[in-house]
Amino acid sequence: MAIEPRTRRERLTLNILLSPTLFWLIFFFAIPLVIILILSFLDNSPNGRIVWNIQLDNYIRFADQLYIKIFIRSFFIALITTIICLLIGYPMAYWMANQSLKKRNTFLLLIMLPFWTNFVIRTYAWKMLLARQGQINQLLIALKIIDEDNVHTFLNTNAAVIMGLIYIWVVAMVLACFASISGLDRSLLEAAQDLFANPARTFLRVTLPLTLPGIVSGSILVFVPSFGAFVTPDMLGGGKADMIGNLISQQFGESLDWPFGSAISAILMIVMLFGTLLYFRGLRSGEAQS
Amino acid sequence: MKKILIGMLVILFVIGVAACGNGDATDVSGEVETDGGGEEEGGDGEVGGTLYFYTWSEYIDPDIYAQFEAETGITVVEDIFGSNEDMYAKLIAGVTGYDVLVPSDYMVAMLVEEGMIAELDHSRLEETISYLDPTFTNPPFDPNMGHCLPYFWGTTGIGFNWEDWDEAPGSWAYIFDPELAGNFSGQISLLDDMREVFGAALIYLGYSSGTTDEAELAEARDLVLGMKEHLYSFESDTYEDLMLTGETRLAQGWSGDIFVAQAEDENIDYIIPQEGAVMWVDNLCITVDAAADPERLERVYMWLEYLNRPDIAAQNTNWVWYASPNAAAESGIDPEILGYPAIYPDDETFERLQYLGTVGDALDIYSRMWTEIKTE
Amino acid sequence: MTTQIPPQTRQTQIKLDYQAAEYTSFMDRLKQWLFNGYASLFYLFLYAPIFVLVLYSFNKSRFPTYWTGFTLEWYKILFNDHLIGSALKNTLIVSISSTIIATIIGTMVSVGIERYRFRAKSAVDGLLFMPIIIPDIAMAIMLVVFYNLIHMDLGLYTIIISHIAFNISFVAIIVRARMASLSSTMEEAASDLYANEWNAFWRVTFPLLIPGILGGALFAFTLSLDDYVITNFTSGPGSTTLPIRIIGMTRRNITPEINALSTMMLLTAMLLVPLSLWLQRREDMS
Repeated sequence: MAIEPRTRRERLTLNILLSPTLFWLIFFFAIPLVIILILSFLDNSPNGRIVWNIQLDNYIRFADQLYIKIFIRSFFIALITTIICLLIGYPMAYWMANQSLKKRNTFLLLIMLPFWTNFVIRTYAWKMLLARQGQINQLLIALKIIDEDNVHTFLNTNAAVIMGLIYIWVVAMVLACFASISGLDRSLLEAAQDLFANPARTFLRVTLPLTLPGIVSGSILVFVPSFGAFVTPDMLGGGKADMIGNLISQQFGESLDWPFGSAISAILMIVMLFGTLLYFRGLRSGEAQS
Repeated sequence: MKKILIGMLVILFVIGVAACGNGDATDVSGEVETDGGGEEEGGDGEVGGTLYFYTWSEYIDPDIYAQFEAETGITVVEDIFGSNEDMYAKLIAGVTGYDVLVPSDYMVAMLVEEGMIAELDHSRLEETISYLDPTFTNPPFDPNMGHCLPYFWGTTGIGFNWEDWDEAPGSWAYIFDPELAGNFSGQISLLDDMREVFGAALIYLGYSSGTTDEAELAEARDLVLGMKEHLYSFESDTYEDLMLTGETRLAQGWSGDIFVAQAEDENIDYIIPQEGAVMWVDNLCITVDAAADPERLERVYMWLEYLNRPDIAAQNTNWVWYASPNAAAESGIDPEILGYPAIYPDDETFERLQYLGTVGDALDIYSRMWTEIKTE
Repeated sequence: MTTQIPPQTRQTQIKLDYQAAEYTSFMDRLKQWLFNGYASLFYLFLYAPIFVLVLYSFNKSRFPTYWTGFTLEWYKILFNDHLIGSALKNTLIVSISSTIIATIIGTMVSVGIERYRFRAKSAVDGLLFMPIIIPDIAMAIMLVVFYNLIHMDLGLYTIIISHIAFNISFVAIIVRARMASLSSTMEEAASDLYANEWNAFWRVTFPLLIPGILGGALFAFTLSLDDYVITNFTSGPGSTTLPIRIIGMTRRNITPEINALSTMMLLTAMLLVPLSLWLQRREDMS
């Protein structure tokens, strides 16, 4: 759908559009990124100073059952988070897109507002809600679903971490899907409805494929930061459900091992980059088939 | 592509100019306003200017900033860090501009080794040093206070609730012995801090809290793993809250924090176990870049002197609720704080305290075993 | 693929987006009702911790997790707290300026990428994607090392630069999701008015992009407001922001003062809701 910039003017326009971002990301991202990559091949002194001793040790060290285990666990936590976010976020985005133009902005704002409070305080509030004496257990007792001696321990489990991540990132999913769904050409949907005469089929054959860009960006926006999260596992997992992000921040913090931290970061980024490439390719071939 | 490059260069230029202009401006724009601001003119004993104080949150009575400014015209800007390592990482990356830091004991040793803090000129602080408790004037991490002045100190012990006990749980066994810990299964919290957890476990096992011996460390790791099923969580920030709400009944914690919780619920108390405990001292240190600038250094010494004036040190202690190493301040300190053994332990207890110390190369072993503890 | 898109876009859009009027059958009404119920549940999930947070701003105890009684004391303390005041000021400067800049250039790059085909496209794509997949602690470390290598003194402006660096990507990903769903219709509309591409863009494309831009900007603002890791490392003397102060406070304990602050920020933000309605109404009338 994109066009080739043919005239001089078009080429100029393209350059103007791209250059600020390119400038910014090259200077304040790509060049600094090289630092991390170089660091990952170096050594450190016990006090955390960098020692110029080029080696592969940091990467070899990662090939350890212990770290791989954390890596795989993080992957599944992020995956489950993403799937649940999609399942609850898409219908929400669909609902918002079906509101009148007037109400939409309000609903959009209402979704963002909770996040303008501080996240530490928000997470504290979740800790209170999920505690043994917390409001959720009280509610379950009041509804006679559980009895008082048998309260649930929600906190400090993988489930609590996943819930915390969903709470933070589902909004990204809603925003991305909303951007895509509200851009749909409704006359097209009506035409499709006439054609298929079945709402479910209309949805699967028309709506879903057309809003795929939103689903894809939403999934990436949720999956990637969840994979690298460390504050949520720390606060809601009670340090018992640590993820790869905790391992990385541990290296840059208490362990004073920047090269190892850089190496894990580099591995994480490479895996994510390839993962998303595969994901895109899979989607494209899926699209081609349908 | 060539055009993109040219465009980028133009923008680089524009931003570069803007950034340089900004660079001067931000020195002023980010400041804390304590009325008036620093007057530059001296003459009547006022020095003026700004001092950048890099410290822990809520580790000073904020009124002291205003009082200091009223007396000297110096504006103190407070920046805070969440952990010693956060602060250290910034310094090692080369960040400058801070004047006075407040690192803990082992961190002082590292900062000295790396040449990031300046030596203390004792001749400028004679009176100040005479106020200090001799127990703290020759710490192992900084012999003869060669670089830093002690600021506050405390211990890491056990927080408990009198509702559960007739006699205080004076042993780490109540946390680390799987059988005893089972009495409070799922209601015990440990600090989310590698060195502190290993420190306590090592002390319980009868080893040095800063050991570098791999076998001893492995024993400590297995000890923690053995009680992990009874652990509520690793918690450094909210363990007092959890004790107040009854989520946890036993917690490894810092003395001053638990004292704050006790003010809410007098059943909550703190004990230094019979096996001993980790003690720590936070210090006032001068960065090398502040020391290189006579004007900044002048302000720094005035600040160090001021914080250690007996009346100010007492005022600060009454606000912070940690123990002050300033002996001359004691007459001004709230008797309740002075008489509270968790904050000011008696001599016999004091004997059982030990510093964490630096561990050098063994940090790698600590780090890996800590990951094992948190993952298995 | 596309059918008719007349140039008078705004009208068309309202017509297209507007709830189709023939939703009358029982099944449709039921569906509508279920959807509304679902949305309410969703908002309940989002706001449950917020209720708790607001409630505890009136708590007598200095612990925000342990209820002892009602007080307004924390609001009084908040209004007299210079340290929180300056941290709030720093935070607002950072998040507002980084959001504005990142939204503008993030939108520009999205338009450029989605609209044109060029050789380095996948490279630009990859570059845009990297800030999202990098662990934030790694980004923080590399930036602080970089700033010191090029002798930039750390301060508010280094925080802003860093926030823009990650926000561009987040804005772009949301705006591009919007663009991708529009591109075909857009192109056609633009080609109708090819005589003046500039006008075509502002009259056709831009209004259609607004929901995406708005969403991206809101998202960027939120990320910027809450960022701790990158801010912490790229801040310098005198540029402590709210998240740094609050995380620092957790070491002793967070008092309900922070709940009070969060409540105040929430109330201020709430004012935006009637404002947005009012703006909408004015637009409708003109």
